[in-house]
Amino acid sequence: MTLLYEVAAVGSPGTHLLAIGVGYYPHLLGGDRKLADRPLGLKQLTSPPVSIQALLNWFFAPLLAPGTIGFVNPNAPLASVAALTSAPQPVAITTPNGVVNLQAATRQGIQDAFDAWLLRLKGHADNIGVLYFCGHGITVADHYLLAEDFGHNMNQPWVNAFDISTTIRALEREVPGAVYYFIDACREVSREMAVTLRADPNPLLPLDFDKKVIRRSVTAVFATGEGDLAYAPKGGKVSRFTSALICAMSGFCGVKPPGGTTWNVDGESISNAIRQLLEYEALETPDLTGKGKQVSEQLVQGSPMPLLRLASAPKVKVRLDLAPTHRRADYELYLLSAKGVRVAQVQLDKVFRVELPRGFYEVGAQAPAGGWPPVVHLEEELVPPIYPLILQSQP
Amino acid sequence: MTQLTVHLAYRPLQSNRRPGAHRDMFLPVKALDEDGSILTEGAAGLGQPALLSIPDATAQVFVRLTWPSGRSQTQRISLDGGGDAELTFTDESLSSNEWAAWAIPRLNARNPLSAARGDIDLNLQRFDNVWLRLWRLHDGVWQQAPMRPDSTYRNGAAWQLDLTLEETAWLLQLGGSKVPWRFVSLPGGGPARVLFTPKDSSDHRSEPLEVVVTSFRSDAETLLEFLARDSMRAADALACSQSLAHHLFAEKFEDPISAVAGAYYSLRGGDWERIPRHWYENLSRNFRWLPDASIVHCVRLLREGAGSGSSNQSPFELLEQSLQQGWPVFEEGVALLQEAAATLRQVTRSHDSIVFKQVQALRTAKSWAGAATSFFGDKPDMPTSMQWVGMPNAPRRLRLDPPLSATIRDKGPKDREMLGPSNKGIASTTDLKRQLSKSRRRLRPASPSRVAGKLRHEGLENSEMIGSSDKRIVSNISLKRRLTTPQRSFGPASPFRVTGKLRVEGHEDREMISSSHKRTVSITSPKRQLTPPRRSLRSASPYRVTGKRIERSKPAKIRAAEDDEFLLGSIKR
Repeated sequence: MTLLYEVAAVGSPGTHLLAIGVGYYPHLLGGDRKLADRPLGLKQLTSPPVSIQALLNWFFAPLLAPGTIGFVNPNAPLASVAALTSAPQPVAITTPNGVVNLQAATRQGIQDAFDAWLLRLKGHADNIGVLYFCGHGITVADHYLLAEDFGHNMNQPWVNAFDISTTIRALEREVPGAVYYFIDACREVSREMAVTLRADPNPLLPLDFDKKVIRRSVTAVFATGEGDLAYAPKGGKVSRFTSALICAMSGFCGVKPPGGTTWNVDGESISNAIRQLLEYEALETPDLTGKGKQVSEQLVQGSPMPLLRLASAPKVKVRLDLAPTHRRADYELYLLSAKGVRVAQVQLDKVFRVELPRGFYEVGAQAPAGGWPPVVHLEEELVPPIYPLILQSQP
Repeated sequence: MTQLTVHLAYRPLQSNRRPGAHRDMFLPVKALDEDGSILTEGAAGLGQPALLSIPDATAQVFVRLTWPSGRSQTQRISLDGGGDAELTFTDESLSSNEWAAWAIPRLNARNPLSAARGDIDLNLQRFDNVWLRLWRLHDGVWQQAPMRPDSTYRNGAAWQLDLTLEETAWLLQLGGSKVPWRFVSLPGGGPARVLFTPKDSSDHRSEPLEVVVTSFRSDAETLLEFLARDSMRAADALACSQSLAHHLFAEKFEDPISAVAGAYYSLRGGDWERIPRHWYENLSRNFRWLPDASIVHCVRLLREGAGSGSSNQSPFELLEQSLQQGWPVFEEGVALLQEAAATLRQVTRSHDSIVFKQVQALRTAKSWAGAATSFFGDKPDMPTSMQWVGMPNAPRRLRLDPPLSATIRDKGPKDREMLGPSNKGIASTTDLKRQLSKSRRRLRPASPSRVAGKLRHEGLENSEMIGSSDKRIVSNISLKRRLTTPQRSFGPASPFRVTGKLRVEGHEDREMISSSHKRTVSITSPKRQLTPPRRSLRSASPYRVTGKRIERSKPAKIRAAEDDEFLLGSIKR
């Protein structure tokens, strides 16, 4: 089944999600069907089915258990969810309508789901669309994403891929509201592929040049920069990018505009948060520094139309350290909010990690036993999603 | 409401104003409550304070001023006493860096120049052999121009050059033994200033040297710096304050470069339709030398759609016109080139057009220089993702094409999978590394082999053959011999590329080296210089695609003057 959830909300805007996760590629390396003529070194993926599950669970969470963290937007509530995934084993999702097995993400299946999603999305001028993809991707002339049956047709290997770059451009002329794209795939550039394989997959929607651009907002966040790779932990875990995306949406970004009553998560907020959370992961995981580091990239155009509207202030992952490290155990590391709330780590020889609401704080370190001078930073603004600081103990 | 006046006392930045310009630098300011909710926002200029209206019940506000670099300054002010209030932002780091102060707001907050110290020593001597070349577009041909700075500066943390550039496209090329060769676009039509400082970021993609460019248009450049970093809220605060973007565009005849900044903002945001189309037409018609003017007009027409427009100009012609005049001055223009090419490629269905390939090449070769366009490559008309280091006469590859790099990386940490090509099935990494080292050693600097007929994909086995087959590649002995000849300086000109599966293409070695030689340094005849721009555009790439085979096309039109490099080390304190 593709359409997992739909609310008939005639005359009012809603948010429409289309999620695609492709981990099983029968015609690529390690697949169980005839190997594609040119598999391009692509193999099976274990992360996409798990990643899409995590994302769908996050979107459904408040509907299944009110009050839990998940999708919230009173101005454009969740109106429909469609999903496809390809994995060696069926993937089941718990929806408000019960447990549903997801349909395979073949090229035709993706096209059918996209067409239906687009129809729903065009139903109201203030609708918000979300298109999520996790699987293999290649950048040639544009960014191409591969469906499950990629390589099935020996003579036309690209017929079962699609051009997401052109799809984004085409949708700008069809959808008046906002569309968010989260593309969790590699963006390796290979002109060799373009030339020798005649890579030219169709977009999901042809670009109609007769129409003008009507979109108000478009945000496309790519898991990695052009020419770079996206990663996922081995062993069937949620990919780095999807982890960062879910974390960002779970209250680790948002701005309350002048006169506003909610903390709004728009394209700039979420793309910035994803990038910083990926950096934070690299900071916390020394193995990921250097070349293995993943840096997301984004396209943000138009006027902001928030994806989420949160009632409470976003949180910040604080990572407070003190240098030189051999003095850490002598100090109390603390944060004192402008409202007077104080949190501290007292004389422990480790990094102080804590999650706090955004806002203004005094951040410092003091040695209760004396001997070392205090270190104080006044009027520090903790801006989501992360606040890493190393206090310097002088001399 | 309580009126809060926010002054900006960054006096050292006042010298960064272009003669005759009406506006100084503005920076976005926000008044926030203790939770970080935005109460109000605006922009403070050097001569014009921001006037912020604060709700009456507010006891205290935090006023935050943001630089394009992301660095911010915050001041707390109590409003308990009632009545209006004011505050002033100053910065010691600016005053301690007289001639470099203009660049500090654009550099990473951790950059040593941002420290309020005048005695910084970043060991700049290690970059003394970094070379610079200046390129200008003349009659559609990139020519190396003598580098004669009006003035130079140097301290322990940065170098700076002042140049005066005529109205055409300009590129500054830099490179060194550890500095990848890249180009940075300079705005023509007046004075330009370029600052170099060691990198200030831990991002593995950042380059050893940061390059910051100004043409003394503080207002327009600040707006573009925010756009380049996707800081739309800050850009909105600037642009809405004083209707900055609109004014910049409106004054296009006085300052077309500032006008394209206004156009870029309007196309990035949602109000591109509010700017009359004839403004774009006037800009592209009257300032053809400015590539950005044509591309903003092109994208404006494309967004209107063919069904609603009555323009006499074709978007495709405008795209061509833009590329004939060089590369966009600003990075925002590269994104619009992509948008235009992606749209027109679908419309024209001519995927093999050299125009689209040029845009694709630029996209894949992009580097970072803030709002200025920057790309990797060895020739101004040939952006490439392949990176070169070394002196101009002794280049060597630093980075291979990504697919091959991916194969190597795939043997890295085993705890992750890649959502894209890994090419693991093609060759073992150990073998590939060995192959790579052989390839580099044997094939440098310009030793293409010939693959007759259609292009061939070659894995390890073929790669081994590359090193052992005299027929397909020169022997080590003969290569060594050639390396002693002056031709070795033309390595980057080689059409040899290593991709996911090793690929070799081109002509016989002897022919290719000769061809490379011509392409790099032959002095283009006067007749060729007068070739119409469009023709020169088509021949700008040394490759043309016919069916599945890539062939060398005519040599690119580049005039280079050897031994005309400018060394950073020649700039003295």
